[in-house]
Amino acid sequence: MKYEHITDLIGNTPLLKIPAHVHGLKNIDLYAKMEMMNPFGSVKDRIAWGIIKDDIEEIQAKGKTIYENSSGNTAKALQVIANMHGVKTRLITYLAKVDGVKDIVRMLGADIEEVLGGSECFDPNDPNDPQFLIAKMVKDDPEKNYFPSQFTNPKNPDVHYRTTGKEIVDDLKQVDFFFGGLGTSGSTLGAARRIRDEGNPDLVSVGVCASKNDFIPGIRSLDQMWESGLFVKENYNDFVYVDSGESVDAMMDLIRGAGLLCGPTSGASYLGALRYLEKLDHELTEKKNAVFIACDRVEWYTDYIRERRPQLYGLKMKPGSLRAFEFDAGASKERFTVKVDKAQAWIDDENPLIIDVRGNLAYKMTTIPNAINIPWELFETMIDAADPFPKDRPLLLVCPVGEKTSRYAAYLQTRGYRSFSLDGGILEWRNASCRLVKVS
Amino acid sequence: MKIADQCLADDLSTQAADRSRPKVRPAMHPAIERFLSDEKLVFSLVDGLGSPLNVIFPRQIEETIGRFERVYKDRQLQGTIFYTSKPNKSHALKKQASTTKVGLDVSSEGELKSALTSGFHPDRIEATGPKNIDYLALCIQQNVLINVDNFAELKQIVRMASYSPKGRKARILMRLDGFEPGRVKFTAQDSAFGTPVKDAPAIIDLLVEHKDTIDFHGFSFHFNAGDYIRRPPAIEACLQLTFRCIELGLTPSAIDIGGGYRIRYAACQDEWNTYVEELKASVLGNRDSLTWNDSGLGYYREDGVLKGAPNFMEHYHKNDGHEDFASVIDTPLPAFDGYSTARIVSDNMFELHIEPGRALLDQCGITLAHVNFDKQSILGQQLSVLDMNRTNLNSTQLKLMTDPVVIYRNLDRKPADKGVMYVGNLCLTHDMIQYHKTFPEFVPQTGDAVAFINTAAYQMDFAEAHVLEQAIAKKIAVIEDENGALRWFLDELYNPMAIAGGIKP
Repeated sequence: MKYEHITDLIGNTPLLKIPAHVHGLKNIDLYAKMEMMNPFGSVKDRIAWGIIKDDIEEIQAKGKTIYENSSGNTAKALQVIANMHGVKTRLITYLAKVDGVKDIVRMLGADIEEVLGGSECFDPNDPNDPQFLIAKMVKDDPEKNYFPSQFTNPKNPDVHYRTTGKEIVDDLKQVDFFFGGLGTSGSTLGAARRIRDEGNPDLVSVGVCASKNDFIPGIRSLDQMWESGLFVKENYNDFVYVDSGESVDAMMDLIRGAGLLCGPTSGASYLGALRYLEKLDHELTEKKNAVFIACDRVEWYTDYIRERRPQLYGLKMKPGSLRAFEFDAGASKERFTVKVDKAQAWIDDENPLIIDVRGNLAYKMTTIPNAINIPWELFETMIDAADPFPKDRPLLLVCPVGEKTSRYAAYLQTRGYRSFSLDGGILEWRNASCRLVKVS
Repeated sequence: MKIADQCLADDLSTQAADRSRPKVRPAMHPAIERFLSDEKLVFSLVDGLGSPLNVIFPRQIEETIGRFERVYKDRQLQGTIFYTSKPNKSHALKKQASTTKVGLDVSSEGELKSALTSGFHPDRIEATGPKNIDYLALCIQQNVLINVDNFAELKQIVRMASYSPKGRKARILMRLDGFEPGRVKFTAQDSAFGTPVKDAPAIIDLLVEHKDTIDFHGFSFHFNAGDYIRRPPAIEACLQLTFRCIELGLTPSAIDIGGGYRIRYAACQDEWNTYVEELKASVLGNRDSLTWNDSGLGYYREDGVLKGAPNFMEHYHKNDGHEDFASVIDTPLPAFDGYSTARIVSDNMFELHIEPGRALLDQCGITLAHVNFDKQSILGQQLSVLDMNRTNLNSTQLKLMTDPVVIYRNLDRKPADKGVMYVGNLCLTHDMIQYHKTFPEFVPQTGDAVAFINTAAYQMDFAEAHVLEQAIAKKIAVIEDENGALRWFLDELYNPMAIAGGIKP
């Protein structure tokens, strides 16, 4: 299929039927609206282009800068479009929480400014709120600044009314349930309105929310939705809360069971759909159709997922490695420690290699004479992977209070090193008024 | 009180709350639950000692201190956790704290004297706050660590310390504020506390000049709860200045990062969310009002959209107290190659001082009051009028939004379908104890007892006053003895050392 412009690829995304054995529903067919297939990778491609396409020529001609309150998928789509048109952007947002997406937006050439409000809650009156900051900047110079304002622009739900909603109805005819994460609320509002207008007035539309102190990219808590200029509570039949860890689990079910490589926000919508539908499923007497939005792809969320489900990364412990070493701190400590009061004499007799495993800054400020510095992160990697020191020369390991190094010393002895930890660490050494030196 | 009134499990999948009568049940320690379930004891205490009555659970503080100490130990950190005396005047709590390893943070001459009599040795005490001459002089004489607020105070200390017995220096920390934001933007917030960080070079000069009279321990700062974004740049600045001082021959050994760690007041995230959602809905006119005189608790409606900001704090956090503290010191510092505060402090053998005022008092106290009578307000709101007033449950900033536990004298009560608001005993048109509506099962009536939970920090006695010659609440300390029986003491008669030693009968 030939295309002239990448933006022509936006929309007309596939509707994928999730296999029944994955979701377990008996009387409901569940479909994923694969918004992740949009050219820049997410559902936000629609609104980024949909909002600015009528204005892009004027933006170009006047050399305006596009401002937006996003460092996620909207920012990414806007940045790509801006690049192609030679237009500048400035993205002002709360401290971004998904580095993977932010990194890509930066790589695309965006200027991201991160701000933080004084209050814990989203606060439209807070002079630090991004929405407020941008609105003020744009008002100061409307000839030079352009603000699509995804949170308040009615074009946002309109784009979904004209495209997303229409596509779903065209493909499926009968839609009984519709699920989407609540962010700007544009997709759920617009698509649901279209489905109702096209002859399914009984559509049940459900907003999926994050719990207040949890974080799911692009989703807010219901509490925060009141401040979105677009949100209309009455247009939803119900709301479901999901937790970010469980959303990742649900996302993995889709990835492994349905081959749908979607991200955690899609997992949240899927989970919200299951939570809602499971309760109704067994009471149904006829087949129903349900749709949820699979908004973007999994790849840029690896760090986010690792934080919540580290076991997915299968960090296995190699036998004989430091990680696998079971250390009994109480057992015959004298075998792998040197007491501070005997340390100087021992150093004079044995001429050990003294390794200070604290950070380099601390080492430079003050350390034990003749010590070299290998910060413990590096040290652990070195001794886990290889034999970096001579085995015939004793090692004296030094850390702040002698805890970490006791473990290292005991472990290295099992590997045939003559390794010892300075008991009580450099703190004990200092308290005993032993000699310290500054390295620089 | 039935167990059903408690919400212990925090399960997101529990059945939907009754949105027409939203509840915010308080997070409650089992020891408090146990006390309240002994209704006979509760009534005999509040009947016999009078309303209002503050009940202190001094042993809770040991548990909480233990959790903070664990954070230190896990990161190989040295330093002092300072129990702050400001949020509560209880002697029992102070004495209980004195039996642990914590230091004590006092903020007036009166608090300093009381600290000395509660068993704190001067070398465990830190003096904060704006100080008058007598307070400063006593600190210097007792060799208390002084957290110096400003230049003028520092100069006064220099002049007075030179009269100290020979060789004894005044021990000081220097409190800073006005830190540069660094990578993240924030609008400067004005503060009456501390010295601007831009004046630090001049302070350091003064400290170098007077190093024979002043023993400089390090820099300090303090931000309020939730103020996370300003902390990393503040810590970076303090650490950088500390290294600068070392280069100049001073011997700072500590950094004091203050307090501001949160408490979880509400039992359930879902209940808390629901209440706030319904409050917002009520301000938008989508339901009956939930606030006195429809005041909105900081929210208002403008052009059909919700505006404003809440004048209550978040009542539920995933990470509170020690976990909140841990996340602060584990945050990577960009100016130090991404090493955390904990790592830099531990590596450099500095001490880390903290002053978790509110957080250490979590679950340490409740406030009990009698119901005088119930009535309807002029506009028809159901009121429950308590024998206490707003000074008995008054905070500097936080409105307590959790539902009090009601202990009914009998169940011959009318249902509280439309909700209840609690009013106090002051002769004023409205002496509101809480400005929002709560939904107990029945309307509390004459003789019933109402218990506000988790009031030890800043609430129960911070602003108490003999207004209209109404009673000031008595305080009692409640513990469980070795046989599992509840024992109570007048607050000032509680002596944990004697009890632990088996000396007190």
